[in-house]
Order: sequence, then structure tokens, then C-alpha cells
Amino acid sequence: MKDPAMDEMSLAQRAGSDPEAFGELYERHVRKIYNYIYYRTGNVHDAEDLTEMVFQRALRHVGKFEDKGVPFTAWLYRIAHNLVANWHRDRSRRPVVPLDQHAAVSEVSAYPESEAMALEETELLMTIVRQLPPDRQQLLILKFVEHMSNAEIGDVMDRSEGAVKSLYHRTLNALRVEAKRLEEESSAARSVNDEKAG
Amino acid sequence: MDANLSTKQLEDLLADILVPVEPSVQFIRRLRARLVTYHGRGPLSSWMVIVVIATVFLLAVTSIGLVIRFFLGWVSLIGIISNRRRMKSEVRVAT
Repeated sequence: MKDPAMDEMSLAQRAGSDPEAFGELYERHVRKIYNYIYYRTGNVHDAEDLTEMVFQRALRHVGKFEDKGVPFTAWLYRIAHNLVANWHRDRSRRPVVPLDQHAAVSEVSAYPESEAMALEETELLMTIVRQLPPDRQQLLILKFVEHMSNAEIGDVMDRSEGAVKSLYHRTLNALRVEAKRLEEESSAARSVNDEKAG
Repeated sequence: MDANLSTKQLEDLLADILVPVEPSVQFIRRLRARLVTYHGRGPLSSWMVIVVIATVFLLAVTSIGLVIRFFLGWVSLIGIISNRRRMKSEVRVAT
């Protein structure tokens, strides 16, 4: 049986001169890269544009790709990470687009109130996630969307497995702290409103 | 959202919101087609560069040969004409 990592590496080494090999790599990774960019940008159009740029850049440089023990996927994620960082830098003066497209509830529910609360909670958590530093967002996306292990995430992020584990726990703590802050802010706002109403 | 969530609860919430999204089929196909086009106009491979240089060199050599032939033909024509003129003037002087 063929080792998938070896197979992937041989495809990557042929991809510079063999369009079929590059096509195979494209089919294997386009969805992962799209998902990563989608969660980092928060909208479909930018996710499509940036995914296209990632694969164009990969096609331009795949001939220089060398087997240094880092999987081809990690190489693609690094291209995507750099492009998303540039995208955020270019857009830093523009307002943030809310990431709510995937969370939209289209069906009519028997429990609209509880669903509305759940949606509000989801949006709140997503807002907090999007306020995290880029490396923490990347970690959460790779862990929850791609279901990668800490070792695989370490390959992509160029960190040790232990460093990834530690970053993950710090990220969860940061999420809790931010959630607590937002909860206190909203309860303070509620009590001010109640006083005004009373 | 409860700020005192346990790690497990927080992970479950994250697993609920960070779900894989599927790009549109049209996008996947369109991008693949664009990449094929892009591959077609990619940088020249080394053997293509050698072929181009060799062709340019051959064309240059051929054209230089042609120019030299024209130049020699022109010089010899001038030589023939001036030789005839000289012969005519010599005949006139002799008579």
C-alpha cells in the first residue's frame, strides 16, 4: 500500500512540470484552503479570490518546492496564511464584515426564541474568535474545521507539538476572559436601560 | 454565553460554530480551468530557452551570410562596371 505522505511528496515534486500532478494536488487541498481562508476573512467572495491567489502562487513556485520534512499541505497553508495577513493589512482601515453567513437559520423553527438565543451565542463566540490574534485563529480553524492533530498543526504553524498544546489552552482561556468581559458589559448596559425605564 | 464554561463545553461550542464549509462547484471548476490557462503561460522551461537562443543564433548567422553575399555581389558588380569603363577609355586612347 502506498504511503499517502510519500505519494503527496512525489506529486509535489512532479507538479512543476506535470499539470496532472498539480491538478491532483489542487483537488486534494482546495477545500481545506478555502475553508481556512473563509473563516479568516469571513466572506465567500474574498475566500474565493484569496484561494485563487494561493493556488496561482503555488503553481508559480511549486517547482522550487523541496522535501524538508514539512508536508505539502503545510506549505500551502503558509502561502494562505501570508496572503490572508496581507489582506487584513490592506483592509485594516475598512470596517470588519461580520461572519454570519454560515450561521444563518433558514428553516422556520418550533422554538424561535431558543434558536434566536443560540444564534446570538454563536455570533458572539464567532466575534470573539475573530478578535483573537491570527495565530490563535489559525489554530482553532485547523483544530475544529480540519480536525488536525497537534503535531499536524505544529507542522503547519512551524511550532512544536507542546507549543501548539500550550497555545491552545491559552486561546481557550482568552476566549473565556473575553466572553466574561462581554457578558459584564452587556449586563451593565441592561441595568442602565432598566434604570432609565424605571 | 456563559463565561464560566468548562473546557469541554467551550470545545463543544467551538465545534458547533467552526464547521467545514463547501465552496461552490462552479468556483472549483472555474479555478481549475484558470490554473490550466495560467500553467500554459508560465515561465519558460530551460530547454525552451535553449531552443529560442539556438533559433535566434541560426537566424542571425543566416542573415549575416545573406548580407555578406549581397555586399560581395554589389562590390563585384561595381568592379565589373568600372573595369568595363576603364577598358572602353583605354580603347579610346589607343585609337
